[in-house]
Amino acid sequence: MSLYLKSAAFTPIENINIIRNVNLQYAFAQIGKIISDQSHRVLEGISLESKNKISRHFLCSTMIELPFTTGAITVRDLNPVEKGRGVPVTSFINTYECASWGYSLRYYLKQNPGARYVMVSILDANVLDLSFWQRNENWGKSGFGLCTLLLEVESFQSSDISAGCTVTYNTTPEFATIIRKMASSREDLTLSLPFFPENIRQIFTKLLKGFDQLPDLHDRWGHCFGSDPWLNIIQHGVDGRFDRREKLLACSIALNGYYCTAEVNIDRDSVFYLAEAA
Amino acid sequence: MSKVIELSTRLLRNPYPKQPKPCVAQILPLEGESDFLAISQLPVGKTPVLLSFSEHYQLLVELLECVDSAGLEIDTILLRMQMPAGGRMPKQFLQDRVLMLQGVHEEELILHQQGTSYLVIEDTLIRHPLESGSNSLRLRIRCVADCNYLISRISEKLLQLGFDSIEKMVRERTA
Repeated sequence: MSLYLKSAAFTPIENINIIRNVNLQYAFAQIGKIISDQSHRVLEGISLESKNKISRHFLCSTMIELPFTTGAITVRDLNPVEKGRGVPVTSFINTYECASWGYSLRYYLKQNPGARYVMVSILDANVLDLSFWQRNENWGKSGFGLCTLLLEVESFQSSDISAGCTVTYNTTPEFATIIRKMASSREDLTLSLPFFPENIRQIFTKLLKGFDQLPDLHDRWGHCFGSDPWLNIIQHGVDGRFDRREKLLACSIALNGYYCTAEVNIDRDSVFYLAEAA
Repeated sequence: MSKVIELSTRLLRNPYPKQPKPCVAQILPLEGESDFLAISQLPVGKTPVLLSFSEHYQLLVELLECVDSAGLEIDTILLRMQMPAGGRMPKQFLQDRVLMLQGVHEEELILHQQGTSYLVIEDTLIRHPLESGSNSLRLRIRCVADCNYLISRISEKLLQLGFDSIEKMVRERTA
């Protein structure tokens, strides 16, 4: 028993930036609407009473920082002015980069081990349309979008979520070795790893040979930061893979060495949404 | 009803004037006209940059060390933290009782309602000309035990690091 992935959604965000949307306030108003609609969507399968008990909505990001650090945008701008249908964003977390989702879950579940549901969103959108975020040598081509997860806590053990930092600066091989230790003697576990181009992917191919893992979707989606392991699960869920109960280990690694994992159960009742690009 | 003690102050000078500064700061690489145009649309403030990223982390680590050495039980620590982070965070910030967020208020309110003990460090110390802030620091502590010793240690540390005189407020809050 552990965490159950009740619902997960991904919306690619390709056309919202200051060139198309005139200014940052308008761009974030558009994004705020997507966040609200997506959280409403993943909550459709639970009762109003359960929904009302969800007091936190963590919004995590890797690459959305300048609009906030310069003071152009505040966390309040992420929630629509008129009351949205979903749960408003309460906390914006980007310091742990691609591993922010795992640190948020660890923090929340440590405080609330008896909680029934926990919700996290991961947002990465190139609102300033900066070249570095389009593509670079660290991960090749980027992909952008919003991902929202609704996890049901069946019986939480602290080992279901891990959040840490590599000891060395040779981060990806060290991360792969950590995953290898976690997945050893766990034939029931399928890995869902970050998306990387072939030259970096080889680290996983070589160091995690023999472990069940979902295929790398970098060619299709690019590197979508913290969303990668979840987008892979969503893509396979939409394609109808989970007709029986499976255990997945979602794994993320950040450029500065922060990493996180979540072990989740998925079955035919888990609900997945993959929207058209906004 | 519970008590929250708030210390409020402002940084006046570099906190480590005699310490050599490693030149390790990095900025996002900008290429081509559109990158520069995008950056030019972001607002800039007038507040001086008085410390580097690593000095900011060192300062926060020293404040957290005051808490540890005071021997008080604090369930949760919230740090207001802006990106870009400029390198790897100290391990003290990655502990499971710490959460770093862009804005602390919503989370702090929830902690208060839950009745847990907490420490919040909400600073707007700027480390780069693109960051907004006023070099202020507010520290709030909600603790079951007597925390006067901790408050005096933190106050002493802040003055030693170049902060202005410290305003102390005690608030009775209904949970």
